Amino acid sequence: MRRPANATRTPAGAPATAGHGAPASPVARARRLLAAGLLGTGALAATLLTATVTPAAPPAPDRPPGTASSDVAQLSRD
Amino acid sequence: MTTEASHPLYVPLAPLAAPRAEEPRRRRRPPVPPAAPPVPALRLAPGRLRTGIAAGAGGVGLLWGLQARPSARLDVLFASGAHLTGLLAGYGVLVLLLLMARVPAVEHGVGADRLARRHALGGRYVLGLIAAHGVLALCGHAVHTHADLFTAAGDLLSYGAIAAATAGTALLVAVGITSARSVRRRLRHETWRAVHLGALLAAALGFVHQLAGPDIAGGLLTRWLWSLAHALVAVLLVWYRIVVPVRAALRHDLRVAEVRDEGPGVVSVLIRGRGVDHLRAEPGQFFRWRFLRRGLWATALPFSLSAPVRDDTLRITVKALGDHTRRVRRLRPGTRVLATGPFGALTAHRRTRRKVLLLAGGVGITPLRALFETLPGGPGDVTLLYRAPDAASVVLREELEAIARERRAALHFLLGPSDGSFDPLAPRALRNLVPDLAAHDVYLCGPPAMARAATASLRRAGVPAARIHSEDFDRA
Repeated sequence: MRRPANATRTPAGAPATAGHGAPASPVARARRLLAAGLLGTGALAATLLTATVTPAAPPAPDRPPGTASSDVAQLSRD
Repeated sequence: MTTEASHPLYVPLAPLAAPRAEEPRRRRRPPVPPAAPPVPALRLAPGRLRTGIAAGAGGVGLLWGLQARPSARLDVLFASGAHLTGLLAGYGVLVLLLLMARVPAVEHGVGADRLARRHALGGRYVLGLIAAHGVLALCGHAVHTHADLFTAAGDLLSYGAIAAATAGTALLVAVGITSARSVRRRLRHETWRAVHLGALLAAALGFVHQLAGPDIAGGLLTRWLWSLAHALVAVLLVWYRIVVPVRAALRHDLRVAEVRDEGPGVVSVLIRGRGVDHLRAEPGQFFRWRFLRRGLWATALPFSLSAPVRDDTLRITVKALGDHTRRVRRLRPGTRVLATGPFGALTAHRRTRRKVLLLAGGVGITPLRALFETLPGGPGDVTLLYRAPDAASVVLREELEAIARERRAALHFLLGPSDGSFDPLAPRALRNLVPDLAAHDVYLCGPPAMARAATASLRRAGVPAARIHSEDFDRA
């Protein structure tokens, strides 16, 4: 069932707290916190992975020489 | 007239006054449904998920296209194809894991059955892409180094990341083989699941190899973004498949309160805990249940709630179809229960019409029983058709009749063997029972063969496919 388009409007004469600037409900706040926490953890893990994982790979024929794969890996193999 | 319901989980709704003869057409106020969750559950629409996945694949293609160097050289052609298929395969593995991460917004919006089907279909594509990537990469390297295929393969496998990715591929192939319908039927669920967990290791091994690919390794930002995508999926998996269930187990302390016979081979299990309302389970949804007793603890099986949550009590109704479900009958009060969920999208949010037909087959009555009681609507808005082989096979009958009387809803038991001469689910038979059938939303739950036949009948009877809501795990 669709929600009426005016379902979120503040009724005439209602206190301003019911409008756009109303404080978020605890559930909504918890959701935002969770999303931020998960994203932050992911970003931290990604940074660690980027810094530590530098695998070797063979030269790529479809790339200009010297641009393929990890520099360290290329130097160690070529 | 009010009706005393026999089941403690069915509380009759507020009594409705008898219709007055002089006001036959006056609209009656619909019965008050149980309190809805205060904040609506987040739901990702299936179309949005599809669009998001396609956009991601487009982004991956763009990443490749912007860096590929056009050339007619054979080794370059092979390598270009290998890199594109490799990137798409890596992205595909990520999507497959995301679909199974049990993120509530995705589960509640798309539905666990659709997710499982897309996961199964996507798995075939990903295996195809990995195979293509391997063959193209091998041929490209062989041409580039002027070596034969065996020498080229040996050379490639001397790279640690490629050897790891090859091991990961072997794991994925094992997952694919054990997931084939004919093989899976012969395997124990626990075995299949153990092999399937190998996909996580395969993804990690493949990720190491992907970071070495020229499209990803070419730039620090690209490497970080690719790593971020993988890390986020890993975080979601850990959070929703480990942390959330463990936290829920500690918080709610669910235990079996009662096991009662409902019919031949069918029992209801009442499970009670603390703060069960906070699970925000909706009628029509299911949990994955793990009963902590010998013979049952190793497997979590999905069962729908057969009643709305009341008084910190959940109820499931289970038909004995295998060893596991047979053991459920022997559960004792006090047995600890781990429940993950709720999952599923067969809920009131899918409704688009005032009139609703609930069509149940066999033990498929369970989620529809909960919806039958709680779907908002006035007299005549909700109809329940319950298909069963005979009267003895009908479960929850007293409750259903009590709900029908309270809500003034139509309830029909369609009894008879499935191979009988009269098919009560034929389009004409359905239209006879529900004259304005095409104006209804239909919620359908039953054995796979019955659900397929009913869907075909409903379509022939004029119900648009978009208004037939069902959950089908058979094709996953």
